[in-house]
Amino acid sequence: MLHSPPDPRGSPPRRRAAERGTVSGPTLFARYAFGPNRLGLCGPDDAASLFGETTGDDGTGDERLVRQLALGFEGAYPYLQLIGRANGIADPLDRRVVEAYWLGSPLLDLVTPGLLGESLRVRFRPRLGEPTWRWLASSAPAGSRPVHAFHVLDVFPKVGLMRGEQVGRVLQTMDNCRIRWGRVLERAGDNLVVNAVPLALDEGKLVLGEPRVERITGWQDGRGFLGAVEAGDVVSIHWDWACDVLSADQLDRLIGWTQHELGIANQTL
Amino acid sequence: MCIAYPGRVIAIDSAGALVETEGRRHRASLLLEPGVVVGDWVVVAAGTVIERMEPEEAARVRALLDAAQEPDAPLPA
Repeated sequence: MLHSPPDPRGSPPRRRAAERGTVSGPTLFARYAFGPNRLGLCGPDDAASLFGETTGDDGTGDERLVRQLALGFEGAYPYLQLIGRANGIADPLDRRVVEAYWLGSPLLDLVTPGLLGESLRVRFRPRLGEPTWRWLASSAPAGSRPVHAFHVLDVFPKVGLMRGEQVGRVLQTMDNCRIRWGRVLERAGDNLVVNAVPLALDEGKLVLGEPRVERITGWQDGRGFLGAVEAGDVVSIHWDWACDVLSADQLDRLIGWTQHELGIANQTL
Repeated sequence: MCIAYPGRVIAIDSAGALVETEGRRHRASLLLEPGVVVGDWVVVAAGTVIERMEPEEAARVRALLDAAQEPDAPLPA
């Protein structure tokens, strides 16, 4: 049991975003989508292109192809469209929209419960059985926003899986799928050793647990999204793949929106 | 994918299941539903099979998905 909540942030990341430069929206999307895509869990069956076109030596590739691949992420893309529309941004792969979806940002504030609810109804009601649709329909009125953490953290409590012997496996699944963060301790070949913050249960509620040392993947044969990474940097993680080096502001938003969606998930527990 | 979606299990191997939905195939872990067999209709979320659908519910969803794939057929609300 956790008697006092751990500080999920720790000391601020060592570097600011401006020191690392920025990438385009499509490339940022690829950085986060590649983790599950390489495992065949979502998106089109072309992880090699998604990776290859966004990890070139000059940091650029065939953006048109990346945009085409992004359309095949049928879970994420409609949310990008929704965030863009709500904020008057025509391009769903605008960098601001992409970052709002993966990490969270003030752009989500303009996606009202009504807009999210209507989007969910159109997309999911015909496709889901009544019990599953019922819990999803309750998410928008509860305050969920179309941030990636929304589905990941909401679904398991709502379908009653946070009980019994399989709780440990459920927490592991949620940790794999949500966008996590970890402070870099060292690089070990194509891997990074990080101090990452896992989910935990405290008196039956989902919380951010004590940081633990983990080994994640950051490169394939020396190629990856991170560029130069140093001990003390904080990286984002999706399905054990290191997506990006986070600035202090990005980390704050990721933690804040994760806690927001945890709070909604905990209403069910 | 990270959202919840229904699909039919078309293959199972040591790494999990291959689930088809609306013409697309994705892998999914069977960690939480190890008893799933080929042909089952399931709900997948976070890369994991989280529920087996009851046959009548699966039939209803399958009919809706089939109707949605016909040209010019609007999705039922």
